Amino acid sequence: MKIAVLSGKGGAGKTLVAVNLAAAANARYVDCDVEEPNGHLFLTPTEVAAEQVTVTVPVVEAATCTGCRKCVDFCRFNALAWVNDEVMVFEEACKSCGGCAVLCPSGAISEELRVIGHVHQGMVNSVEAWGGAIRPGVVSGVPVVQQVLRSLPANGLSVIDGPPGASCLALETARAADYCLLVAEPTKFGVHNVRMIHQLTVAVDRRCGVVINKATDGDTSVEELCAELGLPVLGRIAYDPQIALANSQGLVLAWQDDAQRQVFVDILDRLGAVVAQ
Amino acid sequence: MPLVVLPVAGSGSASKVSDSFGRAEAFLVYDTESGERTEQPNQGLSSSGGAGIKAAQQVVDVGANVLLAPQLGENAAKILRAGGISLFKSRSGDTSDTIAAYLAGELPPLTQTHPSQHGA
Repeated sequence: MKIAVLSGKGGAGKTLVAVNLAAAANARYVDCDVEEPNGHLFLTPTEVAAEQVTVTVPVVEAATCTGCRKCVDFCRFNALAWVNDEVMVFEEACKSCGGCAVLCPSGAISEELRVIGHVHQGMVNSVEAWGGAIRPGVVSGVPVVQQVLRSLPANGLSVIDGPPGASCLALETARAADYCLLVAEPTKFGVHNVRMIHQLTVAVDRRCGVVINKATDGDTSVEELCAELGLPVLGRIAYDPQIALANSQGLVLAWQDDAQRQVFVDILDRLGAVVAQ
Repeated sequence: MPLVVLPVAGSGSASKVSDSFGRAEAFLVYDTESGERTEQPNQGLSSSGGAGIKAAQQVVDVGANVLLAPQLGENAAKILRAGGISLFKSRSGDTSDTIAAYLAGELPPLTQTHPSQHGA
């Protein structure tokens, strides 16, 4: 079972929810926020196994190239240009489809590997902590997210800490999950974000529920939206300075005391019930 | 036959200099010898990514000698420079005014480019 924890913006509480659900369930935590991973601040494995993420990019041998431009015309991502009697390659625009190398009639195009990031895993107490990270300067983390998600064992519960927003990275994460958990603050902005990420989950045909973080008694706008969209509210995490303080110290709430652990156990119970429906 | 190219928004006499190069609606091609103005749709406009690369390829293929643009991405600039095209920083607004300013030697060279904007 894979649960993707998503939100429309950074700072809504995805990592708080994902880390603590994984900790409360002794499950697998998976950091797919590969542009700015932060799960390791809470779950820090002492021994880490890592593997590189590579992509292929075309390399054109100028002496063999006849200048037919078939590769340039073929590339729908515009990663190739023909100028000054040679092919210019824009690696960051390339999606590694390999079509240019297949098409080249003179065999002038070969493919080389580029390391763009890594996938890592390690144990913290009884939590299996996974994650991916892109190298600084790399434009797209999609291949890293895909490799993380492909590498996950099929057994057990994986709680996936998603990338913020509704980008390609979030889409990949939602698509790989069995169920999506949207984290939102009880504000107008939170309402907008739930609506946006709900559309994303609909686009990839995934069901979702909502956890309200920094919940107060005053604002019920997220609950009203959930009623409108038919989304279950699976939990409320109180707006509490003690939580903010513990979080700022890198503490896992579910490991602090029974009361804090119970907040996340309750969410897991409700989650289990709606997923089984 | 020196050809001057500008990215434009809108068409015909109503066209203005486009703030975007890769996502401009069209390119205005001005022949400084004959005074002839022609327009062609920007092939980069409908690209999902790499619009600046596609647009720069088009400007190179047109045989442009000079490009006047308010701003350029680094990939587009790389292609245009490799194609031996002189880059000048255009004014915004009326295309005829910008061409006149170029011909009068009033436009500065375009030296700064912005990072490419490939979405993640």
